[in-house]
Amino acid sequence: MSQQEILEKLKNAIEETDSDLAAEAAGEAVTVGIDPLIAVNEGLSKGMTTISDLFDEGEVFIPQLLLAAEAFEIAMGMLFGDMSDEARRKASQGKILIHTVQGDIHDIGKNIVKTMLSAGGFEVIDLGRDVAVEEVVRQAIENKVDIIAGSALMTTTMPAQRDIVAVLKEEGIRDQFKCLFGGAPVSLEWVAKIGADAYAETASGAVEQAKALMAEIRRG
Amino acid sequence: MDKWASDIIEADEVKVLPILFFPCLTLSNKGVKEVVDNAQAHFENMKNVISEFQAMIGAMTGMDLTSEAQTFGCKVSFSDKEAPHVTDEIIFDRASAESLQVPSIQAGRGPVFVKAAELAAQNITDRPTFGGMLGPFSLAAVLMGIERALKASIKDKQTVHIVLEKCTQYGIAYAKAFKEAGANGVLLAEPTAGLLAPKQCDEFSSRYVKEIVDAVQDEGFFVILHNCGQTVKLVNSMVSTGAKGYHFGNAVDMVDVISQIPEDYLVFGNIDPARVLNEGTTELVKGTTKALLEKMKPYRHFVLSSGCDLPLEIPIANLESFFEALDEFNKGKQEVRR
Repeated sequence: MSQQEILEKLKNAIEETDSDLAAEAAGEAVTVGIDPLIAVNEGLSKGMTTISDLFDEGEVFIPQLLLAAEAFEIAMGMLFGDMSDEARRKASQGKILIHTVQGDIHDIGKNIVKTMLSAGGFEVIDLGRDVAVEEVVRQAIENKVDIIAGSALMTTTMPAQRDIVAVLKEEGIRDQFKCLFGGAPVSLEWVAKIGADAYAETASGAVEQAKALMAEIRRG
Repeated sequence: MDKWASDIIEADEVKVLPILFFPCLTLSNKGVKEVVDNAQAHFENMKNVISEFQAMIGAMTGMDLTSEAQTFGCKVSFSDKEAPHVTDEIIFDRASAESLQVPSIQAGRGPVFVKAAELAAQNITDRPTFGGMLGPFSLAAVLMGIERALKASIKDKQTVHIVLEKCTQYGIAYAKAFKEAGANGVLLAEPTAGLLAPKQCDEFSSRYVKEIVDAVQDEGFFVILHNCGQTVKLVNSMVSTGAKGYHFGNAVDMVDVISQIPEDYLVFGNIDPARVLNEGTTELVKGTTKALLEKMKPYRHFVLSSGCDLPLEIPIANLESFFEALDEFNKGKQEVRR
């Protein structure tokens, strides 16, 4: 099978939300020595873009999006399994720590955003759900991330986003990280009020915001 | 209840029924933990709501949507500051779905809400009483974990159906218990169905909701189906359940959904509980509410409501502003008629 055919197969696997096909195509990409970045950018991410666009248009729904994300993550694991940390860093658009805030166990939105960010070329560290504020800050420092991304699905858990910004300020490290927040009750006004850097309403919006934040970081 | 609904549709004034329970705890000295575990305390807060906001066209039990899942075996976290929430899931595969036991309606905290509804029906006699309960797909998704349930709705449908059949069996018993206790209807919350595609909504939600509706709804008992998801493409599916009332969240434009619903069904919605009622100023609440009322003028089957259950921390002043907006709007209509 040619490189082009394998890339097409990777793209189709995501569009068809088929994890088995994604694993098969990723295995073939590894076997023939396709650069993992090319496999992602020319294969998997194109499929994810199709799914994401259809989702934004209301033609694809959350279950399909979740299965596409699962297929994407499986293929990513196979493509990048043997890559060194240094090579990953070089290939990355930026490093993002993502989590669902303390007290909140709703992580579907966060999981979709995580996949979309990966598809957008970001290196994403996922802390999971119901993550304590102190743990978020500790992991952000330890992993030297560029962006802290957090989702809150309940009005009662939104204040954890404010607390993250407050702890970063208290520690004197606020300027080392950009804070990108989202979630059903979260709004642009809320993000401005708590002194975070960006708000995203959708998964594709989160990718755009993350890219804009990285551009700000690079400009210094 | 058919007369209740037709009176609302024929009335010149717009009526109001937000999903309001927890914010009024701040008016008494009760915490959340007490009212979700004690029927008398629960009923007293229902009474507080009515006494504070007389325009409410019904009394409602609090929407503690963890009760059913806890009764099935999930762990629940309680706090006095927020509604309880489920902290784990209990269905992981076909085997655990098959071995899931449908609990007795007497088990768990369900009887607290049924008893509270009974007390309300006996003591708040100038308006109907509604019990709150979780819809079958939303309950199944809690038991399975939402992500697992959504993926399985494509990859392992049979497991979802096994769980759904058991959730529906419990749901029918729970709705019947409310009815037997004297309640006049139930608000059936099915928000997770809002994540499904229309055909999936037919298959995994509406078909089962219809079983509950068919089991309890009649002239004296009214089912309101709530779905606060992105439901514009799901309205037909929702209406196929036969429920006589539909409640929508702020994810939709009310015009887009109400225009799809026959005029003899009540349609409730949809002021944003978080960004408007919780985070907004009293001016924002009033302005947003009046704007919605203006937009809904052509629709006589519209009932003003919140877009979802209202969390504890919503300021009472904002709720007052919400009700004032309706009062001013209705007075304005009266003056125009004169």
